[in-house]
Amino acid sequence: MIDLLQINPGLWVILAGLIAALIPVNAVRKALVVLAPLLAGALIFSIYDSQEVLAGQIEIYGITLTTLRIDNLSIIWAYLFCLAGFINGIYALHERSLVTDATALIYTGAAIAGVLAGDLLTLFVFWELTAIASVFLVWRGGDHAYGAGIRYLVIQVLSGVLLLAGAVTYAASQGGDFTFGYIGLDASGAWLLLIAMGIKAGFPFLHMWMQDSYPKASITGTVILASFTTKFAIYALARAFPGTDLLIWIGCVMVLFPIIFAALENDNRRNLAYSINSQLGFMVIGIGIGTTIAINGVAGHVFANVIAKGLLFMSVGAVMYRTGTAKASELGGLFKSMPYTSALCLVGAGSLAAVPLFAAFVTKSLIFYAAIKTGQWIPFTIMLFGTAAMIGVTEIRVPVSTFFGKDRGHRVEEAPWNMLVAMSLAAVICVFIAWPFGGYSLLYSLLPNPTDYNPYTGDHVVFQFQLLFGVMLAYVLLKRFGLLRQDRKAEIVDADVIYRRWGKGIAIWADAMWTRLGANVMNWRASGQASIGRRLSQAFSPAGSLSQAAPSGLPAVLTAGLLLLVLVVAYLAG
Amino acid sequence: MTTPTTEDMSDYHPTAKRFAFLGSEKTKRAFIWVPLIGFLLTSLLGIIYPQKYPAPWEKIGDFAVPASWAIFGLVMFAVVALLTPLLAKIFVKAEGYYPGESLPDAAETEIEGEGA
Repeated sequence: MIDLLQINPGLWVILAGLIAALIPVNAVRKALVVLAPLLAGALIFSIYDSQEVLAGQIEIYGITLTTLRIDNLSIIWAYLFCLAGFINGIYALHERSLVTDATALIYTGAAIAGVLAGDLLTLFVFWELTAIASVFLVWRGGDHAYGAGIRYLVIQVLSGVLLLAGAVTYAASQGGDFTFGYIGLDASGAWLLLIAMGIKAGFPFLHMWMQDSYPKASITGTVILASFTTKFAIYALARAFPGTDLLIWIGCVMVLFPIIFAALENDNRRNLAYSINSQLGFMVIGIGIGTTIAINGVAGHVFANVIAKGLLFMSVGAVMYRTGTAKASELGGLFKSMPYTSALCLVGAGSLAAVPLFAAFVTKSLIFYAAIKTGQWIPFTIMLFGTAAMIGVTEIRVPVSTFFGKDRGHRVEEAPWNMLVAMSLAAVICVFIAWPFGGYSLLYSLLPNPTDYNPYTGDHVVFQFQLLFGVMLAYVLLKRFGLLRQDRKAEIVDADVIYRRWGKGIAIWADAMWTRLGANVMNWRASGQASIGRRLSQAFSPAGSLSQAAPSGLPAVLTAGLLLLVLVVAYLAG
Repeated sequence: MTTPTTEDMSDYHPTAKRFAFLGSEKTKRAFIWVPLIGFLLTSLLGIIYPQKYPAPWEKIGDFAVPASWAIFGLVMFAVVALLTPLLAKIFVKAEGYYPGESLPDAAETEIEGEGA
């Protein structure tokens, strides 16, 4: 008899996705999409009782796999992914797409199962499954998303291959033990694992898949994509590489470089994708610091970020659903048509900006506090700079340009009811988890380590408001004096220009050269063959030179010459 | 609350009509007072609630600057915003730079004309 509680709850969501792929009735499928993540959350709740759970052990070719591990680190990610899956399911209720429903469930399930994996091989399976399932969400964006989907798939699968190579190398050095725990950079295969995780976590120069694919996916697809892949990678990093100094500096670069791209970006969804990248930098810094408070900050900030960023993506998606675009240069004044969406977008923006009473205020501050406590003043300053800059270039700019900027004349309906419900749910969570009277302490109780940190100190509240008002003042003054760059249609060139433009150009040139070379080779071969044939014909054909009568004296002369040569050689040798 | 008198609000969402003043030029011009007062007020509050853990750059000698984050936010965002046009010359290309992969424009059927 199989104990159902021994089965990784993510697998039930994946199973629901496979069943959904066979159900043509939209309402039944939608029920599965919404309820399956809730069921998984309930199962996790019933299995986990504050003690580490190791279950679902399977032995394959002498390797013991632990397909289910719930502990103080994985639990918050598991609950978060169930919650995000539920909210995303509501958000997608209006979309009648079997592909979206099925792949969204498989993707969500794979992410849940992945963070609950106890060994590296199980992790690899779900790591790849998230990639394969999610690419369909990119392709659902339409024809213009095809290329981005292919690139996304290649990069994600490459990440999986590196993960597998790293896992095998690591396990070989550990006597065949694939247990997924602390690894550290000194272990065999660690660099392969770090790069694999770094690809999904958006490390600098490995990040471009995110800004390439997220804005091109379907409206619901982008919301779903933004919830899982990168946060799954952050979990893996927090498990394998806590306290790795290198991650602090990688995180600092991640905080900084997206700022300028976000500032230049016209498309709101790509702007938010850069914002995700910057927020991931905070998490990577936290992992690099690696203290208990820092890891708490990472886990908490992942939670806040998935919900708040999801809310922003949902509001931008709702606008896109009604207007057909997410380009800031074509939007403005939409609060007149979509007042609820506007308000909910502001909640999301405030939550990401760490405004007191909103989500990131109680989570990002944990990472700041960890940096202060360890004397990491440079990373601290970079994080503060990143926060200030992203408030201006994303958290103020996106809602202002979309809802309150110059009226572009869009008169559309408010977002569909299901989108409003999903956004409202996310907004309530954003406020609830930062609520000073019981809200944040509930979130903190889910964090990996016990903490008595209180974010609502006078100085923290005052200085956080200072930062907000400082940026707001700069924004308003620069706008007043016409010094703020206008949003305009453009393509921002990121590092992916290397393979999307230059690499493609080189490939096209090489192909042309090969074609031209091939044509010349054909000519050379043809003329060579003709020449040889002509010469052979001249020699051997009935009319050829060898068929003609030779002068009779010539053989006698040749024979005499040969005899003379033999005599000379014999004389010299003798 | 002020409402724009020159604008027809018949096509506004019913809820938005109550907040129509947010779209008026007068409100937009007056909005500068919100961050300005907030900036000054929180800077003063910084004296009452000084930073518990000031960074080295927040201190002049042993004195922690009470408005340090306000100044930091103001200056840093201004730097980013002023650098942006310069960096645009490097990173910004015309739409269609990657052929066939441009992001969608507004659906024409939904637009009823340019700005009010």
